[in-house]
Amino acid sequence: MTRTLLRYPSARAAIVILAVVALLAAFGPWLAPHDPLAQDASALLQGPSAAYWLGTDALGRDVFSRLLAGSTVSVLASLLSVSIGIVLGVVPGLLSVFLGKRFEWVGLRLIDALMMLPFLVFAIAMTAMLGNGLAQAMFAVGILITPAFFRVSRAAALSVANAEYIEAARLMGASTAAIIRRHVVSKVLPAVAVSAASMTGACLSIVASLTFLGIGVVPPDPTWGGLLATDLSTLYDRPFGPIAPALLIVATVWALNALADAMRDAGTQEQRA
Amino acid sequence: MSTPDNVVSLERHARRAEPAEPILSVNGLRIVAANGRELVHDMHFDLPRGGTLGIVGESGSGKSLTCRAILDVLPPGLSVASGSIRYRDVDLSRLDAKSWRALRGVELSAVFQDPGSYLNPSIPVGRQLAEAIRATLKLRHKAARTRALDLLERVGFADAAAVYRQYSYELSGGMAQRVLIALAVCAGPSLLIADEATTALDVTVQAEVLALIDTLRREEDVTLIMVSHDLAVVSQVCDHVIVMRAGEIVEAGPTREILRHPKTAYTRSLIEDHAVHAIETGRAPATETPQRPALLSVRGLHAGYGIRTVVQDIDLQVAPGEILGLIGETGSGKTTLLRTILGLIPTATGAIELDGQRIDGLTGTPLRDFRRSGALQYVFQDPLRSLDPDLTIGASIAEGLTLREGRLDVSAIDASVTAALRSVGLDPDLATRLPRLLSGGQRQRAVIARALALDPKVLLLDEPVSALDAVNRLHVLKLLRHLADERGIAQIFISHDLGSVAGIADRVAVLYRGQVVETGPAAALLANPTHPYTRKLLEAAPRLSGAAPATTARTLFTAH
Repeated sequence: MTRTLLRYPSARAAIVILAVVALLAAFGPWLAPHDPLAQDASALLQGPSAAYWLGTDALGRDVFSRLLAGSTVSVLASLLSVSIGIVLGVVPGLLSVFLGKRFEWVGLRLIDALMMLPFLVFAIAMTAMLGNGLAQAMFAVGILITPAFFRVSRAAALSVANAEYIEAARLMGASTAAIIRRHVVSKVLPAVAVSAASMTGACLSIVASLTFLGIGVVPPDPTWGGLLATDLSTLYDRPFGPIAPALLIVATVWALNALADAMRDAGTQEQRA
Repeated sequence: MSTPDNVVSLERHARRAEPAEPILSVNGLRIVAANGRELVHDMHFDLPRGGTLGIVGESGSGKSLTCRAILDVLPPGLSVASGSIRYRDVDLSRLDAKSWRALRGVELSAVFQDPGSYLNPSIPVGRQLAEAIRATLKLRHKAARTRALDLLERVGFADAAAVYRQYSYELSGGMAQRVLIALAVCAGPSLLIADEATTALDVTVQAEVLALIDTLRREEDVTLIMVSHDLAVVSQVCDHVIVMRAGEIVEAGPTREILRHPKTAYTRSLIEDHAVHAIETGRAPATETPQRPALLSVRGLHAGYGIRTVVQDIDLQVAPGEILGLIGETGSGKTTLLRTILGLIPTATGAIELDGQRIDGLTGTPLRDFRRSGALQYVFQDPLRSLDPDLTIGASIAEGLTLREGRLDVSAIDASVTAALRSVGLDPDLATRLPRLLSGGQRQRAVIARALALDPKVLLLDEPVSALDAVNRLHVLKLLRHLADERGIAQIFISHDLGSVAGIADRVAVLYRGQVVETGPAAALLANPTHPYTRKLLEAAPRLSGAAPATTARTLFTAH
């Protein structure tokens, strides 16, 4: 899979971008030239300069440092949501195929209900209930993207559930758990990986939009979306302000989507080979 | 450059109809893969108008590729390297896409093996037929519908109006193939290619479809190319035969001539393959079943799905080392019976005993323990689908062992896998391969090896050789006979190919509408069937018509 994947130029570009983002997320706070929270009253809303590469915001904080420092939180938050989505979606998705009619019906109706929930209202309600913090907000997002993983893993499992090799395993005395581990997981994994990549991209934009709306954000901690929000409020003074955070968000989301596409193409190509 | 003008001139020629001129002429045809490997080498034949040509060979012999090349529908990556294909006076290899559209499906049409996959499941079959008629004959809705109904009647549907409204998934294989034949002839083609068109059907249905193709061919004055791995099928309809192997013509000539005086050893093996009982089983067939205690016995069994009873009042016994052949057409309950014995379908009444132990009605842990013991093993019809595509052959074979023994160390597993592969005559190195990298015959042996790894007492085999070509079928049949004789493994063997059953079974049970209508020693029963249904089954089996009586099909059922 990896070798086929690397034949796509878009996949190579995406991997490079994601590697940079991963580095930013891992070491961003240490790379920052200034303290991201330190305010410099003598330099408010400045343009790019040697001292402040991307200028300063309304409180005189270094935008570049805030961008770097915000990487960790932004990336971790979206990964958290996706992990929650995978755990809550994939496991019941697989079980809905193998645990009989009753579990299947209940599972499907629950997922239908989740799909009906308006996303913003649900996120706001969750943060109101659990307290306004990024972890709570991302938990809400994780629950909301559960249906995607449920559907994808269920569809992939359904296509192999009646396979003769699964019946053969059952006839040799394999338990449902053993069958899922041995025969089903490997069939479902590619589909889940593709949705995980595209969902991470989606979550990153969700973190951005939630923090932009002030949900989940705890000022003064920087995030990419939070930066975008503050930069927009001072658009008249620093018209170039939103470009850097927006670019970072767009590039990461693009890279994840491109990777997901390439993974899907590579998967189908390998099946044909 | 060839243009639509050629097609027009071809129409004119059609009306003149010169019988001396071949309607299709293939010369020096070479088909190569992208990597340069030659798949068909110097294929050549002339087919006169109204002629019937059979192309016979095992899978991979290039017979289907030749047909696909004629229709210009080679699979991606393959191409015609040299040679010419002339239809009337048009060189088909130089035709552009537009001219092809006027030709393919209109003048040249085809019927393939798996009819279901060529029909759209979301549109009633009659409407699909009517649409094809509208497109090719430029008829209006009503006229197309009338002609479609007429065609459905011609291909043997008594209630054409009902079939017209049915969807492809509501049709049996034989019915779907009839619809496909109707589609193929709807535009009044000059040349019809039937590529393994009856392979997936049971004997009785196969005989009917063959008769239908033959009748249509005569009535509509269609030139026919029939491709099959089965010489008997081809010999029933075709005047001329080409035997292919590994992309080359082995032998060609009039059917009678080839059947009577085959020149090559390969053709002889294809003919002899039909008299399957000639397999050297190394043992005289038992005239009287020896009174050994039954290993597997089924008594008074009724079973089915929900309230629908599929098999009724079944009594069967299989002794150690005995092979019981189970025959009957699709829907007679053969597979249901096996699945009931396996515990996949609950028994309504009756008892199933293995080695004196009741095995029906097991659930939960006792069922799992019984299954893990491996005493009863099942071999599926399609080996490719019964092997996990992501697991190596070795891992698949080891699966049952690890389930039974818990954690085994790697060397013990490797030793068992190697032994299992050796016992079916496969190279142990294949253990590291994925199923798709094996040939069909190798895969079926690997599936049998998976069953043997658990040292079973009884093997249930559901059409284990029907997906295989002649040569591989023979090998697998010999293997099964050997397992019965040397290891004493009792077997129930389902096949719609009576030749295979005659070849290896000690006893035969005939299943008809869920009931055993006749049972007895294989040779005697197949030679002198008493039940009318058995007689009908035997008569429907394709034979090598016109062959010298000493070598062939006649002897198929009159054993020794």
